[in-house]
Amino acid sequence: MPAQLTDDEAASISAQADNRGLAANDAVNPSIPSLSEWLIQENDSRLRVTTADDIAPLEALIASVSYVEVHFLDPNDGRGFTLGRRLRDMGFTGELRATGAYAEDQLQYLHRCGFDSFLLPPTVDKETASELLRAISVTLQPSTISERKVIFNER
Amino acid sequence: MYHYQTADRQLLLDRANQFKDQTRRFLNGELSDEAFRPLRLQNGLYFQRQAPMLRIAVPYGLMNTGQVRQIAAISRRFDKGYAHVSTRQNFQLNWPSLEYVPEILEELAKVDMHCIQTSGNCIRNTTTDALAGVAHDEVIDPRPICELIRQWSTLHPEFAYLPRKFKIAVSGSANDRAAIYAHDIGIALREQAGEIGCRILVGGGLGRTPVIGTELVPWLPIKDLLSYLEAILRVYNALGRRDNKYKARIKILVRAMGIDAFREAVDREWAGLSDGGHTLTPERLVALRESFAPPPYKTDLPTAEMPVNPIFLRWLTRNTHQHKQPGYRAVTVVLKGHGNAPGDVTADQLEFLADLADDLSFGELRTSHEQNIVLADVEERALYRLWETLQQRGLAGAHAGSLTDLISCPGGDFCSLANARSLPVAEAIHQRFEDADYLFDLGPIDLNISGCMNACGHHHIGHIGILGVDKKGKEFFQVSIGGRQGNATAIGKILGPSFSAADIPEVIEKLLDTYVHNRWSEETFIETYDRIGITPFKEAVYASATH
Repeated sequence: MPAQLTDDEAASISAQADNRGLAANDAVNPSIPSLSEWLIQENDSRLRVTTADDIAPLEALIASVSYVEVHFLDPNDGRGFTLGRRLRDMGFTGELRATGAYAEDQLQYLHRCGFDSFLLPPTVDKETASELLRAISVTLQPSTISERKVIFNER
Repeated sequence: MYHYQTADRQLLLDRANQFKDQTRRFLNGELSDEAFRPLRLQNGLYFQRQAPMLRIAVPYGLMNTGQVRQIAAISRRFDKGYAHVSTRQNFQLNWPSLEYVPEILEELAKVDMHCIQTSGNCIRNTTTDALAGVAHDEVIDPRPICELIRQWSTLHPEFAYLPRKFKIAVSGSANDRAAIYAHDIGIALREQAGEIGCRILVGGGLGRTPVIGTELVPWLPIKDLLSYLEAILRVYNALGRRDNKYKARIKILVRAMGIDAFREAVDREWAGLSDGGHTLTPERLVALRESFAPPPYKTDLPTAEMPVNPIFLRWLTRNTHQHKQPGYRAVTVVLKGHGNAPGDVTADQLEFLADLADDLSFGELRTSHEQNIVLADVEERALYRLWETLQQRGLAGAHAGSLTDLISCPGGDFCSLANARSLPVAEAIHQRFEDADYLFDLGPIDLNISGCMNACGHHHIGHIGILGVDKKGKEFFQVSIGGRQGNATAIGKILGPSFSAADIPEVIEKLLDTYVHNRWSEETFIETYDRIGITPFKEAVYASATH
């Protein structure tokens, strides 16, 4: 069993992790334009954003987008969940992919927030991911579940 | 009360299984400390100084006797035979061992209980008035709306990783007893022209930066409550600070943006939300309200003659509360006394109280945010018998609402965040002020103790607030006065330099003496303070204090 930390010790370690910056940035795909690049080019239907991006400028252009990759900067950074739902509420129906530092135990919440494509964390295979996606079989509030088939990619 | 449906039960079983698997992965090293941390916190499990602490949710403080007996049984089997009532109306077990937590969750699920979202950066247990549904000044019973919020917030997929914890309180009475001004969101239910709606406050909270909530909307139809809450949470989740946990609460965001800009952002978000079934239909509201229909009260009760026993009458005045239904009163059983951490209750006491509730109060009990137990529906004619029975078990302390009905966090004896040990201070105050006549004469005084500036003991809104501070590794206590909860919620003013633990009883005594010497006839402590200000209190305390 790993050594137990008290919660304030853990908070300090987590703060140090934040300071390491984009340590989890290993999965950024340079062939896909970032939001700022995309807004200038407008000739690609795919783009990538990070959980820190403001996606409001996408609203008027959402019909021309077929693929969005959301890069999670930190597993505790919950902005990605809201980002997914906002995209779906804007009317985005394309592939919505989660990459970066999200945690495997967040898969079901991500799916319920509209994500339908996942670059899986290094330790997780497709079978485990499918099980995690179904961990809780009932919901007590509306979801934004995509109608597309879920795509898993192992690292 | 609300009866769990098949879906509610399935959710608890799934959640217990999920946590069993997560704990297994942690114990065999597949999940790091850091990865396991948010998972266990959202299941109420803290790692503290001596042992883990498990916080069990009591949604809006309401329980049936089967649930109370199960808490007693769990505390005997997996802990040290007692539990602790927290200021958020939850139960805490201070000594469970991690390996047994999944089993505890299974045992809780058997009686429709759980630890979901009792900790972590998510929407916490919604709290309300411990007299909900029975208070004489109630406009609308808040419990159906609390249940609505419980369902909406339970495992909400978007809001499990917020910048910081998020607390909602609901009040349905003219007088706020749910501290709605000191919550991230406070909801005051209203009725206008036969329609139910609410006033919404945002950005209140205690902690290191105490702030009183600001009005976001004066009136929102109840059908729109969930979609509006969703919009508020969405703005907070997107824009709340994540770089500094002391600046991450919604109050800081509301302050930084200004209430008008915040309101605009919420309205914009609200307009863009897909409805997705959030609108409360009249049918669902009716069904929720039926879950909390009044119990079968007797309507032909004769006026009860109260025996002229001064000790009983003092208890009757202090510990029982006027009831909507003629012939009934609500009763507070105070969990504070000598040698007893405020809010601690033994398994034997829990079972005893459950028996009383079955016998005298329609089989339901409540926890209060003052860390007491309430029997909400007792016939007036049964009060003397109830009091005698409580007396035999040492639970008839007539100090509800008085100085020694103090609120305290567990402090440095248990909590790893605390700067100071609050429990010995509470105990010293109990010892100094045990004279029941004196306490009765002093009248209502809220005394709140927090072991650190996270303010779990709500010291900011105590008439007398005590805060543990650390000075070069030594514990000291800062005293403030003039704070209050309710409609006129105010943050107390700091008296001056802090004191050692040993000085605190004397400091309190000087504050009380100042009040007694200055009060006009029936004036309460806080009324005298409002009239004469802080200076006389300050002078009395610092004239001869040794610190």
